[in-house]
Amino acid sequence: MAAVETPPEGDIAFVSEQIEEAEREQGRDRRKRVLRPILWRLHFLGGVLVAPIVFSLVFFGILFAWNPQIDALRFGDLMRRADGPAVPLSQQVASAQAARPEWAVHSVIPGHSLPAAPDITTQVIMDPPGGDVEFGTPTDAVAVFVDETTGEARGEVAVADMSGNVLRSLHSNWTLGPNVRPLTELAASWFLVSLLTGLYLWWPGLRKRGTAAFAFRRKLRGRRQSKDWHNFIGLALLLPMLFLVITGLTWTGGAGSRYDDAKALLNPPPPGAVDTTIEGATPGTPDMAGLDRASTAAAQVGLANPVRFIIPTDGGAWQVQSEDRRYPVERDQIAVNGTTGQIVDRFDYNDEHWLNKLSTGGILFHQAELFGIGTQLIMTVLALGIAAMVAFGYRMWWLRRPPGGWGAPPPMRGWIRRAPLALLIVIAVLAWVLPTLAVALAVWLVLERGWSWWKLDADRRHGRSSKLTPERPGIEAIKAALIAVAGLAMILGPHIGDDDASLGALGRTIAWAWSVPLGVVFLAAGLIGLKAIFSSTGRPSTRRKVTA
Amino acid sequence: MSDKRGEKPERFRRRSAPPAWLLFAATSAASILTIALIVAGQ
Repeated sequence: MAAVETPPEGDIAFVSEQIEEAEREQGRDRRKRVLRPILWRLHFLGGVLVAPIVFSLVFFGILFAWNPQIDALRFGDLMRRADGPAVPLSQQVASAQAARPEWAVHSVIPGHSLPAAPDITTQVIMDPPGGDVEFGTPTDAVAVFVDETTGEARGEVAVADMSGNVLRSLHSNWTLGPNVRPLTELAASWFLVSLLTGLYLWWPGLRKRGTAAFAFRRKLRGRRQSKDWHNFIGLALLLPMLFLVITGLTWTGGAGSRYDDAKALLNPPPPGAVDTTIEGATPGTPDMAGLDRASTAAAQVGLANPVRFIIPTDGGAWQVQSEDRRYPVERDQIAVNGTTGQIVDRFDYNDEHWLNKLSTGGILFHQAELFGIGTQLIMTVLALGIAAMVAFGYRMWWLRRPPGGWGAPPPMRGWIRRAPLALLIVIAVLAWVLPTLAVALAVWLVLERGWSWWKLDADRRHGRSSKLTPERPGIEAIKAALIAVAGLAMILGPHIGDDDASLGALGRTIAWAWSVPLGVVFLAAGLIGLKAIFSSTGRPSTRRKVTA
Repeated sequence: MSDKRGEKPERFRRRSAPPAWLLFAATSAASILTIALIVAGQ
């Protein structure tokens, strides 16, 4: 009897466990119903809209990783030096000046400090008249290769034509100029979002299958085989891929400027530099004997290779900086008085702010340089892994596709109303961090909405009842009007790149193509929307007749 | 239902899961170590 009145504690625990489990299930169901379609749609759109660009990033990225070897193949005859002791740097520079007397000398990288030493020639970086300066280097700079042993100029190559620069440009904008860079930024941004949404979509697998969810099942075939491979590669390379894409995004115009903003909040000092001021100095071309003195001072200090000597034009000290690209990075700098050979200032890279170290290290890692050939191999495997993962993603979709259909996850209609607040906050933060993606997604949602208005109008014209009839026509009409106004502003307002005089004809066309045609599409979508909404809701008698 | 069809017996799971899980752990640890090395790097 007593057992009936007061159930044993075990039973109470069991019942409350059941209740908790039921509540958890309910929570999961809600997430499944609301979150999953939104995130799946985002994941899918990333694949369809920008994954082709990811293939291009992978392809040129791999080639970029091997650019020193490619340069050695292309310019081997210019880069090989004769055996024997080196002549003074000033003599080497004099040869370059004799070959190109009308050009100024910008800087010198001695061959013996370069990674392929002792077989490699010195690079005298020369600055032809005119041209801009970017990152402290003239954009039209030409490298004159000088044999350290004979002191003879072997030939020249424009710095922009060196494989590293050509492939960097192909990787980021297919050499089409800065106006195309948003496309690669968009691909990288969406790739980042796809990694995160992919992780969410995979998560239930972890709950069901435990650590087995990390593995691919060898005996599966078809779509499920591709899905297992897609998941396996995505997880195995998740953190390296995140690191790769985030370091890449720091270069971009949109996300990169956000990174700079965030960095500015932590207020790091500017990257370390030396003071080259010498009291009472007179500007002009310096005596090249100063280069030999600077070289002796640099050798005494033991700057990490490669070393660059920057020719002073203001009569100041010679700046000698290590351009070390290997771990541990030691980019020390010194300033040397060319007349006395004394070191007047020095900067120790150990004193560099950790954020600046992180930026430099991140760049070197992304450029496959930090750990030498090991990084080149790692980045190649990583890039091939990304390509394979994307390819398996495509195969999954291809095999899932119904005959005659797209097999796309359902459109994100009314998602702002349905999504939980936490997701909206995450989306808002990501939209701020990845502005290019936010704009592209907004454009895509407008196009989708425009298409559904078009179908709504078509249904009305054919006298069909439509599933697309808006629940809240007033709000829908306001949205359509706003889209039309935005389109008008894009057509009539200032266009991207209008004030950029440096753009060529192609650059201008691309800049124009970002704004005007898109404006026309927006205007058309808005007007079609207004027409469809007013026609389908403004004539209730017609609607009643159709639905009756 | 279709998800269950591809599941392999427990024996298979035990054999294949640890290496895949370790691969994830190893690449993650290597990434974190790289960042730590860069920040702390001399």
